[in-house]
Formats: sequence, C-alpha cells, structure tokens
Amino acid sequence: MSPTIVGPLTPTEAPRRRRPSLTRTMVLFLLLLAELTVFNLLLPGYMSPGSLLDTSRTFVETGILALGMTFVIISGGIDLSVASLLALVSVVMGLSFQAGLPLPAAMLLGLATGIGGGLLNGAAVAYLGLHPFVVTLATMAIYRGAAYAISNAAAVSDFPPWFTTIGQSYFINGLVPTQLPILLVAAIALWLLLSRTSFGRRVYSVGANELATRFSGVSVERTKLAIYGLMGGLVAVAAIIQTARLSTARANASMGLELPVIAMVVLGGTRITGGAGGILGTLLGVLVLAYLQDGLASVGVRNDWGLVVVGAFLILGVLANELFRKSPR
Amino acid sequence: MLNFNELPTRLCRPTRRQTLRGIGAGLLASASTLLSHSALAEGSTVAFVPKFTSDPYFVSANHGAQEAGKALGLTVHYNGPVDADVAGQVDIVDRLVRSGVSAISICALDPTALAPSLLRARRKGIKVNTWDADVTPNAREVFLNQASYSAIGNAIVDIMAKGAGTSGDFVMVTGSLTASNMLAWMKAIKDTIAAKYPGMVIKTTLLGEQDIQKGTDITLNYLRSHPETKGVFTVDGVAEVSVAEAVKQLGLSGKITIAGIGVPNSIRPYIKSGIVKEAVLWSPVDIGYAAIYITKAQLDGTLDPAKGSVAAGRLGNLKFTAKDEILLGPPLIFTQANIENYHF
Repeated sequence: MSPTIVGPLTPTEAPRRRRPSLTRTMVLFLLLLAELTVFNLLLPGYMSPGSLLDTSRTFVETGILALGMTFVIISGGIDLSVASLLALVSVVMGLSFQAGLPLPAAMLLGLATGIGGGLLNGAAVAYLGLHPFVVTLATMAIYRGAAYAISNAAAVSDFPPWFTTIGQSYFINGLVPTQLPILLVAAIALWLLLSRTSFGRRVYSVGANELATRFSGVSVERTKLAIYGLMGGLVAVAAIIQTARLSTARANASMGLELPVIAMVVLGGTRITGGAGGILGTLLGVLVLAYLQDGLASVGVRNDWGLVVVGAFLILGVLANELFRKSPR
Repeated sequence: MLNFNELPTRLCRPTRRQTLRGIGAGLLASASTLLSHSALAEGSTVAFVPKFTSDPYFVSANHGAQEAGKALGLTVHYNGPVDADVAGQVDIVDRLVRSGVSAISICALDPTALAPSLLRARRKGIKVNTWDADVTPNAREVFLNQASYSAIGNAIVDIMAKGAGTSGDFVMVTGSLTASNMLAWMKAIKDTIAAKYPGMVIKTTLLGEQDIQKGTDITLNYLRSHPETKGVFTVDGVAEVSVAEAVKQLGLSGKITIAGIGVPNSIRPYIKSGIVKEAVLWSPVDIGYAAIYITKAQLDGTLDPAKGSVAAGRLGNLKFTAKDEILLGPPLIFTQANIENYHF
C-alpha cells in the first residue's frame, strides 16, 4: 500500500486530523458543567454520583450509535437509517426468540441483521456511487417498514431474566448501570481504531479528499463498506441493550433517534462535511446533550420542548464548528 | 413557568468529588447541599403520566387529576411522551424514580416494558397505581378500571333496543379483530343480547380498521345490499363516526339506530343532528380525578381492599372489583343534552 504520489497522504504525514482542539473540548466541558450546576440548583442532588450514573441508562444506546456515526460523518457520509435498523434488529431478535430459537442464537441473528443492514448501506454508497443521504433515507423507510411488516406491529415481551439483566441491573453498590461499561469499552476500542490504526487514517482521508485517497492506492470502496458495516454492528449492540432495558421488542422502537445521534456527533466537533472530528468530542457531545435533555425533563419541561432543544443544538454545533475552524491555528 | 416549590425534591446526599468531573463539580455540588434545604417542597408530589401528553383524552384526564390534587393538597405533575413511544415513557418513569416523587399514577403504553421501572419505584417506597391501561400486577398496587366490559356492553345493547326494538337483523362494525379491549366489548355485546334480547340477530361483523373512509365505504355497501338491517353496533369511536357518516349519506337518519362506543369531539355533529341518539364511553376527567384520590389513599396508607371501597370526593365511594382493582363506575352516556359538557 505504498502511495504512488507524494502529497498529504504519505505515511509520515498522515491526513490532517483536526481533533477537537483544547479550546473546543474545554468549551464543551464547561457547558456540561454549567448545565449540571444549574440543574443541581433546581433539583438538589442532581449532580450526585448515583443520580448522574443512573441517568446514563438513558444515553448508553444513543452514545454507542454516536460513536459509529462519528466514523460515518468523518468519512464524509451520513447514516439516517440507524434508528430504523435498531428497531429491525430488535424485532428480528424478539421474533426469532419467540419462534423457538435459543436467545443467544437470536442475539447473533440480530447482530448479523445489523451488520447486514449496515453493509447494504455501505455497498449502495461505495459501489453504486449513490449519495449516502439518499441511500440511508431510503433504508430508513425500508428497515422501519420491514420491522413493522415482520412483527405485524405486535410486541415481543417475554424475555428471560438473564437477558434483561443487561439493561436493568447495576453493580458496585447498585450505582453503575450494567450497560455503562459497554459504552466505555466501545469508546476506547473505537478511539484506538480511529486514531491509532491505518484504517482510522483511511477514514479521515476518505472524508478529507476522496480523490487523493484513491490515487494514493487506498480502496475507497472497501473503506466505506467497512465503515457502514461497523455502524451496523454498533446499531445491533445498541438494539440488544435497548431491548434488554425495556424488555420489549417492537417496530416503533427508537423512533427519530437518528436526529439526537447526529446532533451529538456534530456538537462534539466532527465536521458534517467530513475529514475532521474524533471520539472524545463525540463523547462530550453525548454527555452535554443527554444531560441537557434529561435535566430539562426532570425540572418539568415537557418532552416536546426537548425536541426543540435537540434541533437548536444541531444548528449550534454546525455553527460552532465553523467558528472554531476560522480561529487561528 | 417554573415554580420551584412545585418541583420534585430528592434527598440530598453528600457528594463525593468525582474524578471525571474534576474539582469544580465537587465544589459546586457541595455548595448546592447548602441550598437544598430551602428548595424542599411542601406537601407531596404525585406524577400523573398519560400515554401521550397532547391527546385531548389525556388532557381531560389531567384536568380531573389537577382538580383532585387541588382538593387534596397534592402537587400533581403531568408529564408523558409526545407520541406513543414506549422507550420515552420508560425514560420518564426512570427520571421520576430518580427525582424521588411520592407517587406515580400512570396509563401504561405497554404492560411489560413499564414493569421493571415501576417495580424499582415501588422498591424505593414510591406508591404506584395504574389507570385506563394496566401493567403486570406486581409492578403496581392497584389498577383503576374505567368501566367494566359487561357494563359497556349492557349500555350499548340497551340503546339499540330503545331505538330499534328487540328483534330483527343487525350488523356490527369494529376497528380491530385482535385488540383485546374491542374483542371484550364485542363479547359483552353478544352476551347481553343472548341473555336479554335473543330476538336480535347480528348477521355479520365488518372490519373498519379504525379508518373513517374505509368504515364508511363498507357500511354503505352493506346497508345498500341489506335494507332490512335495523341497527348498527359500533365497537370503537372511529367506527361510530364512519357508520354515522354512511347513514347520513344514505339519508337513513332515524331509520337506522346506531349504538356503540363514541368519542365526544368526533361524534358531536352526529349527536347534534340526531343521526346518533346516544353514545357510550366513560369520563376521562373522572378517571384522572379518581386516580389522584386513590393515590392519596395509598400515600395515607388508608387504601384497603378489605373495606370494599375507596372514597373519591365528588364521585363518592368507588368499589373494589378485585383485591387490586377498582372500578370507576357506570359508563357515561352522551346525548344531545350533555354532549356540550365534554371536550375530548
């Protein structure tokens, strides 16, 4: 894989990785601290470890999706189908379990469905050369429709206790939700993958300059296929956790979840047009938006307004990215 | 619009410094420990959780809940998902458990999905009851049933007998052949007919699929080809509207009796024009009102199935129909005289 042209892609000079600068990380961190402080004043005890950790149950699934979406967006793509695919995985898993398949096998089938759904997106983007927005807008409808069709809009609910433990139990004095370490492990693994491997470098370079990447001997197609496949696998993991947390598999699961996921990634500093961003920023984006949504709901702001806030933060995130880019390097 | 005295309070624990959030978080948190005492609310806070917030039916239930809360000195906090989103409702319940409300009174979107969160609430000492739509029995103390299926069936058949007589050919229009509540109402109607008016014959059951246009079309076709039909039973609110529309289009007002479940906002024009004489439902205002009275009894520790009933303000005493189930009362009948009083 030796580059044939000398340019920004020689092995010694990796593609410019604009990780969220210190200032940006600080701004997000201060924002998080500020909102938690305000909520803590309104609701004493909001910032206690127990409360903060318990709230993580509401964003582990969204967080896992945001990690995958970081790869997709850095590579210059977008995946609108994640929430629909999550519902499809959940329904496939639930129905195959109900039909008599042992649950571990049903979980594997769900994982295969997720990866398959992701690869399908990736194949259409990479090999058919279609725009990811259009492809995943279509599969958003296709996966959701399939979930409704195969489940007949009925729910599967009789999961065994060992399975629901994944989403409903705690350890260390009942403080840490069981699913939280899954998010942390995924974050560390994906951070390593994105920032310490050649695959990670290819993700950035595909997003920064696809043509130059192609000319330097990288298979853009295979890279894209792998990125969307990875996204699909993470969707399946999130689907398993959510199904366990709610002990129900149903076709209308996580309706509209793609919006907060994309908002968190963009808020975390990943450029919507690709080429820049990172896992640390996304994690902060997840925390800022998730605690904001939870805090607003906890002080009694109706959920409808929570949606308004997510939309506003998506715009703010994009705007902030532009401002930070113009600042002197 | 935030009234700090109405916010749910929670026990304030000494906050340890967290490595992740750094020193600042620790300092701010300990500062807030000092502030927490002034923020303690007076009286208990009860969470009243509907299936979704914006539906007029649930808005009406909230009116009743707020009325009861005012009478009992309870703060009733109304919050639910925007649409029928189970995960959203679970998140809301989890949040209520964290914020430490005194009680949760909920209309569940799913009987099993809500159970773990409500069980956790009960383990923390939060009182739980369900209204309108139940959860698995161990996840709540008591369920408030809006109206018994047999009472609804009885009321519908009596309306039909009054309008069309006690014998002849009839037809039934239902929204679904699988939904458990509609199946139970259909059975109650048939059981009542078998017991009281064996001369009534239900020739067939048409499926309207809760779609006004579809219901209207199938009713039009059926009534055209079966002119001997004396009346139509409707098993859901949408079916009642579609049948009324079909009867209106055929100009058969007064010749065909319509009897069934009706929702005031959609059936109002047909009641006013006399196409539908009477429609059966229950009052969501009263459900909300009764649910909060039951909550109050739970908080006071006075709810006791052995007594056989529970006091519910202007509704009088509500009866236990099982050791963990309370009946709201007889169904509500909408007529030309009272339809203007109901807005849901």
